[in-house]
Amino acid sequence: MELLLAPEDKKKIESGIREKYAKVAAGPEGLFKYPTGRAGLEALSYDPEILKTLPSSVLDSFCGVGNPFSLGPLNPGDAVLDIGSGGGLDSLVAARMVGPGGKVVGLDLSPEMVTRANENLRQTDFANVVFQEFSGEDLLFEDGSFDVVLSNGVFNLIPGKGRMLQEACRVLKPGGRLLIADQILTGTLTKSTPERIDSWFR
Amino acid sequence: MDFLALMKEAGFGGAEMAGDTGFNSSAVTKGTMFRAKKGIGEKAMSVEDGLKKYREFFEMAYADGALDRKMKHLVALGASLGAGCEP
Repeated sequence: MELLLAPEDKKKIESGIREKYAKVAAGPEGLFKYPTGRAGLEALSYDPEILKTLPSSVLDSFCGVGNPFSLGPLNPGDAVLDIGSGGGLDSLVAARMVGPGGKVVGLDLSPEMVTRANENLRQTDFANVVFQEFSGEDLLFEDGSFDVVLSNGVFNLIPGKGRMLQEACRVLKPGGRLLIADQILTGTLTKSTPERIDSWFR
Repeated sequence: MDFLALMKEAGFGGAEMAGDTGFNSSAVTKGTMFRAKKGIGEKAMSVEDGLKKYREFFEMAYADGALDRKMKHLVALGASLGAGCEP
Protein backbone atom coordinates (compact mmCIF):
# COMPACT_ATOMS: atom_id res chain seq x y z
CA MET A 1 0.00 0.00 0.00
CA GLU A 2 2.79 2.41 0.82
CA LEU A 3 4.20 3.04 -2.62
CA LEU A 4 7.68 4.46 -3.10
CA LEU A 5 7.18 7.49 -5.31
CA ALA A 6 9.65 9.83 -6.93
CA PRO A 7 9.15 13.57 -6.21
CA GLU A 8 7.89 14.13 -9.77
CA ASP A 9 5.32 11.37 -9.31
CA LYS A 10 4.09 13.05 -6.12
CA LYS A 11 3.85 16.35 -8.00
CA LYS A 12 1.86 14.64 -10.73
CA ILE A 13 -0.55 13.17 -8.20
CA GLU A 14 -0.89 16.51 -6.40
CA SER A 15 -1.60 18.40 -9.62
CA GLY A 16 -4.17 15.75 -10.56
CA ILE A 17 -5.87 16.21 -7.19
CA ARG A 18 -5.81 20.02 -7.55
CA GLU A 19 -7.33 19.74 -11.05
CA LYS A 20 -10.17 17.50 -9.91
CA TYR A 21 -10.96 19.44 -6.74
CA ALA A 22 -10.95 22.78 -8.52
CA LYS A 23 -14.10 21.39 -10.20
CA VAL A 24 -15.47 19.85 -7.00
CA ALA A 25 -15.15 23.24 -5.27
CA ALA A 26 -17.81 24.65 -7.61
CA GLY A 27 -20.15 21.85 -6.54
CA PRO A 28 -19.68 18.10 -6.09
CA GLU A 29 -22.95 17.05 -7.74
CA GLY A 30 -22.38 14.36 -10.36
CA LEU A 31 -18.65 14.06 -9.71
CA PHE A 32 -18.85 11.12 -7.26
CA LYS A 33 -20.37 7.65 -7.37
CA TYR A 34 -22.10 8.16 -4.02
CA PRO A 35 -24.57 10.80 -2.79
CA THR A 36 -23.09 14.23 -2.00
CA GLY A 37 -24.44 17.38 -0.36
CA ARG A 38 -27.49 17.13 1.88
CA ALA A 39 -28.43 13.66 0.53
CA GLY A 40 -25.00 12.32 1.45
CA LEU A 41 -25.12 13.86 4.92
CA GLU A 42 -28.55 12.40 5.61
CA ALA A 43 -27.55 8.94 4.32
CA LEU A 44 -24.52 9.01 6.63
CA SER A 45 -26.68 10.01 9.62
CA TYR A 46 -25.03 13.33 10.41
CA ASP A 47 -26.80 14.90 13.39
CA PRO A 48 -29.87 16.66 11.89
CA GLU A 49 -29.90 19.15 14.79
CA ILE A 50 -26.40 20.32 13.83
CA LEU A 51 -27.12 20.31 10.07
CA LYS A 52 -30.15 22.55 10.75
CA THR A 53 -27.79 25.20 12.09
CA LEU A 54 -25.70 25.34 8.87
CA PRO A 55 -26.72 27.18 5.67
CA SER A 56 -27.83 24.89 2.85
CA SER A 57 -25.08 26.12 0.52
CA VAL A 58 -22.62 24.79 3.11
CA LEU A 59 -24.32 21.40 3.11
CA ASP A 60 -24.24 21.35 -0.72
CA SER A 61 -20.43 21.27 -0.74
CA PHE A 62 -20.18 17.99 1.20
CA CYS A 63 -18.54 15.07 -0.61
CA GLY A 64 -17.25 12.94 2.27
CA VAL A 65 -17.23 9.15 2.15
CA GLY A 66 -18.34 8.57 5.73
CA ASN A 67 -19.28 10.21 9.01
CA PRO A 68 -16.26 10.58 11.32
CA PHE A 69 -18.59 11.78 14.11
CA SER A 70 -20.30 8.37 14.09
CA LEU A 71 -17.20 7.17 15.98
CA GLY A 72 -18.18 9.32 18.94
CA PRO A 73 -19.00 12.99 19.47
CA LEU A 74 -16.31 15.61 20.05
CA ASN A 75 -16.08 17.25 23.45
CA PRO A 76 -16.73 20.92 24.18
CA GLY A 77 -13.40 22.75 24.21
CA ASP A 78 -11.59 20.25 21.92
CA ALA A 79 -8.97 21.49 19.46
CA VAL A 80 -9.60 19.74 16.13
CA LEU A 81 -7.52 19.29 12.98
CA ASP A 82 -9.34 18.30 9.77
CA ILE A 83 -6.89 16.90 7.19
CA GLY A 84 -8.36 17.49 3.74
CA SER A 85 -11.18 19.72 4.85
CA GLY A 86 -12.58 20.32 1.34
CA GLY A 87 -15.64 22.56 1.43
CA GLY A 88 -15.36 22.59 5.21
CA LEU A 89 -18.54 20.79 6.23
CA ASP A 90 -16.86 18.44 8.73
CA SER A 91 -14.85 21.32 10.21
CA LEU A 92 -18.02 23.34 10.73
CA VAL A 93 -19.87 20.38 12.27
CA ALA A 94 -16.84 19.93 14.53
CA ALA A 95 -16.92 23.63 15.42
CA ARG A 96 -20.54 23.26 16.49
CA MET A 97 -19.64 20.28 18.71
CA VAL A 98 -16.57 21.84 20.38
CA GLY A 99 -18.30 25.17 20.95
CA PRO A 100 -16.70 28.61 21.34
CA GLY A 101 -14.13 27.22 23.82
CA GLY A 102 -12.70 24.87 21.18
CA LYS A 103 -11.02 25.52 17.85
CA VAL A 104 -10.89 23.90 14.43
CA VAL A 105 -8.22 24.03 11.73
CA GLY A 106 -9.05 22.68 8.27
CA LEU A 107 -6.25 21.94 5.78
CA ASP A 108 -6.62 21.27 2.08
CA LEU A 109 -4.36 20.84 -0.92
CA SER A 110 -6.73 22.58 -3.31
CA PRO A 111 -6.74 26.41 -3.20
CA GLU A 112 -10.24 26.42 -4.73
CA MET A 113 -11.47 24.17 -1.93
CA VAL A 114 -9.93 26.45 0.71
CA THR A 115 -11.68 29.41 -0.95
CA ARG A 116 -14.98 27.51 -0.93
CA ALA A 117 -14.50 26.55 2.72
CA ASN A 118 -13.83 30.19 3.63
CA GLU A 119 -16.95 31.28 1.73
CA ASN A 120 -18.90 28.66 3.69
CA LEU A 121 -17.31 29.83 6.94
CA ARG A 122 -18.37 33.42 6.25
CA GLN A 123 -21.99 32.26 6.14
CA THR A 124 -21.73 31.06 9.73
CA ASP A 125 -20.99 32.81 13.00
CA PHE A 126 -17.94 30.77 13.98
CA ALA A 127 -14.93 32.74 15.19
CA ASN A 128 -12.78 29.73 16.02
CA VAL A 129 -12.36 28.05 12.61
CA VAL A 130 -9.56 28.60 10.09
CA PHE A 131 -8.96 27.00 6.71
CA GLN A 132 -5.43 26.82 5.31
CA GLU A 133 -3.84 25.56 2.10
CA PHE A 134 -1.53 22.63 2.76
CA SER A 135 0.56 20.26 0.67
CA GLY A 136 2.97 17.46 1.45
CA GLU A 137 2.89 15.60 4.73
CA ASP A 138 4.69 17.84 7.23
CA LEU A 139 2.36 19.70 9.59
CA LEU A 140 3.38 23.12 10.87
CA PHE A 141 1.93 22.63 14.34
CA GLU A 142 3.69 21.98 17.60
CA ASP A 143 3.60 18.56 19.26
CA GLY A 144 0.41 17.92 21.22
CA SER A 145 -1.62 20.76 19.68
CA PHE A 146 -4.90 18.89 19.09
CA ASP A 147 -7.42 16.66 20.88
CA VAL A 148 -8.83 15.23 17.67
CA VAL A 149 -7.52 14.72 14.13
CA LEU A 150 -10.22 13.86 11.64
CA SER A 151 -10.13 13.12 7.95
CA ASN A 152 -12.89 12.18 5.55
CA GLY A 153 -12.07 10.54 2.22
CA VAL A 154 -8.61 12.05 1.93
CA PHE A 155 -5.92 9.65 3.16
CA ASN A 156 -6.41 7.48 0.08
CA LEU A 157 -5.19 10.44 -1.99
CA ILE A 158 -2.09 11.15 0.11
CA PRO A 159 1.05 9.58 -1.36
CA GLY A 160 2.96 9.46 1.95
CA LYS A 161 0.33 7.87 4.18
CA GLY A 162 2.83 6.64 6.79
CA ARG A 163 4.46 10.04 7.12
CA MET A 164 1.08 11.80 7.30
CA LEU A 165 -0.03 9.42 10.08
CA GLN A 166 3.19 10.05 12.03
CA GLU A 167 2.56 13.77 11.76
CA ALA A 168 -1.07 13.33 12.85
CA CYS A 169 0.16 11.40 15.88
CA ARG A 170 2.79 14.01 16.69
CA VAL A 171 0.35 16.94 16.74
CA LEU A 172 -2.17 15.03 18.88
CA LYS A 173 -2.10 15.33 22.65
CA PRO A 174 -1.53 12.07 24.55
CA GLY A 175 -4.86 10.26 24.51
CA GLY A 176 -5.96 12.33 21.50
CA ARG A 177 -8.21 10.67 18.92
CA LEU A 178 -7.77 9.96 15.22
CA LEU A 179 -11.08 9.56 13.36
CA ILE A 180 -10.93 8.61 9.70
CA ALA A 181 -13.47 7.75 7.05
CA ASP A 182 -11.94 6.57 3.81
CA GLN A 183 -11.93 4.27 0.82
CA ILE A 184 -10.00 1.03 0.99
CA LEU A 185 -9.25 -1.31 -1.89
CA THR A 186 -11.24 -4.50 -1.94
CA GLY A 187 -9.58 -5.80 -5.10
CA THR A 188 -5.91 -6.56 -5.54
CA LEU A 189 -3.33 -4.17 -6.90
CA THR A 190 -1.74 -5.65 -9.97
CA LYS A 191 -0.96 -2.60 -12.04
CA SER A 192 2.48 -1.12 -12.47
CA THR A 193 3.42 2.04 -10.61
CA PRO A 194 2.93 4.40 -13.63
CA GLU A 195 -0.56 2.97 -14.18
CA ARG A 196 -1.36 3.36 -10.51
CA ILE A 197 -0.29 7.00 -10.59
CA ASP A 198 -2.47 7.64 -13.65
CA SER A 199 -5.46 5.96 -12.00
CA TRP A 200 -4.95 7.55 -8.56
CA PHE A 201 -8.66 8.43 -8.41
CA ARG A 202 -10.72 5.32 -8.62
CA MET B 1 1.56 -2.68 4.54
CA ASP B 2 -2.08 -2.06 5.24
CA PHE B 3 -3.48 1.12 6.71
CA LEU B 4 -3.99 -0.29 10.22
CA ALA B 5 -0.36 -1.39 10.34
CA LEU B 6 0.70 2.11 9.21
CA MET B 7 -1.38 3.63 12.01
CA LYS B 8 0.29 1.42 14.60
CA GLU B 9 3.73 2.14 13.19
CA ALA B 10 3.00 5.88 13.39
CA GLY B 11 2.53 5.52 17.16
CA PHE B 12 -1.24 5.06 17.48
CA GLY B 13 -2.70 2.60 19.92
CA GLY B 14 -5.93 0.64 19.59
CA ALA B 15 -6.06 1.22 15.82
CA GLU B 16 -9.13 -0.48 14.43
CA MET B 17 -11.57 -0.55 11.56
CA ALA B 18 -14.96 0.55 12.80
CA GLY B 19 -17.36 -0.52 10.08
CA ASP B 20 -18.35 0.27 6.50
CA THR B 21 -19.85 3.61 5.53
CA GLY B 22 -21.83 2.26 2.60
CA PHE B 23 -20.31 4.93 0.34
CA ASN B 24 -18.06 3.28 -2.24
CA SER B 25 -16.28 5.45 -4.78
CA SER B 26 -15.71 2.57 -7.20
CA ALA B 27 -16.38 -1.13 -7.70
CA VAL B 28 -13.03 -2.01 -6.14
CA THR B 29 -13.06 0.32 -3.13
CA LYS B 30 -15.17 0.42 0.00
CA GLY B 31 -15.95 3.26 2.41
CA THR B 32 -14.50 2.30 5.79
CA MET B 33 -14.19 3.91 9.20
CA PHE B 34 -10.92 3.85 11.14
CA ARG B 35 -10.19 5.01 14.63
CA ALA B 36 -7.16 5.11 16.89
CA LYS B 37 -5.80 6.88 19.94
CA LYS B 38 -2.43 8.38 20.58
CA GLY B 39 -1.11 5.97 23.18
CA ILE B 40 -0.78 7.31 26.68
CA GLY B 41 1.14 4.53 28.38
CA GLU B 42 3.16 3.35 25.43
CA LYS B 43 6.16 5.50 26.07
CA ALA B 44 5.73 5.39 29.87
CA MET B 45 8.72 4.72 32.12
CA SER B 46 9.79 1.13 32.77
CA VAL B 47 9.67 -0.16 36.38
CA GLU B 48 13.47 -0.05 36.53
CA ASP B 49 13.54 3.58 35.39
CA GLY B 50 10.85 4.43 37.93
CA LEU B 51 12.83 2.89 40.81
CA LYS B 52 15.99 4.62 39.62
CA LYS B 53 14.19 7.99 39.61
CA TYR B 54 12.85 7.29 43.13
CA ARG B 55 16.32 6.46 44.42
CA GLU B 56 17.65 9.68 42.88
CA PHE B 57 14.92 11.66 44.62
CA PHE B 58 15.59 9.88 47.94
CA GLU B 59 19.34 10.50 47.75
CA MET B 60 18.81 14.15 46.85
CA ALA B 61 16.39 14.67 49.73
CA TYR B 62 18.78 13.15 52.32
CA ALA B 63 21.96 14.69 50.96
CA ASP B 64 23.97 16.82 53.39
CA GLY B 65 22.79 20.42 53.26
CA ALA B 66 21.68 22.91 55.93
CA LEU B 67 20.94 19.76 57.94
CA ASP B 68 23.31 16.84 57.65
CA ARG B 69 22.22 13.41 56.52
CA LYS B 70 21.99 11.93 60.02
CA MET B 71 19.85 14.84 61.29
CA LYS B 72 17.48 14.49 58.30
CA HIS B 73 17.02 10.79 59.05
CA LEU B 74 16.27 11.56 62.71
CA VAL B 75 13.73 14.24 61.68
CA ALA B 76 12.12 11.72 59.31
CA LEU B 77 11.97 9.12 62.07
CA GLY B 78 10.32 11.59 64.46
CA ALA B 79 7.86 12.75 61.82
CA SER B 80 6.85 9.23 60.84
CA LEU B 81 6.38 8.19 64.50
CA GLY B 82 4.36 11.36 65.12
CA ALA B 83 2.18 10.60 62.08
CA GLY B 84 1.66 7.01 63.21
CA CYS B 85 3.55 5.50 60.26
CA GLU B 86 5.95 2.64 60.51
CA PRO B 87 9.35 4.27 60.24
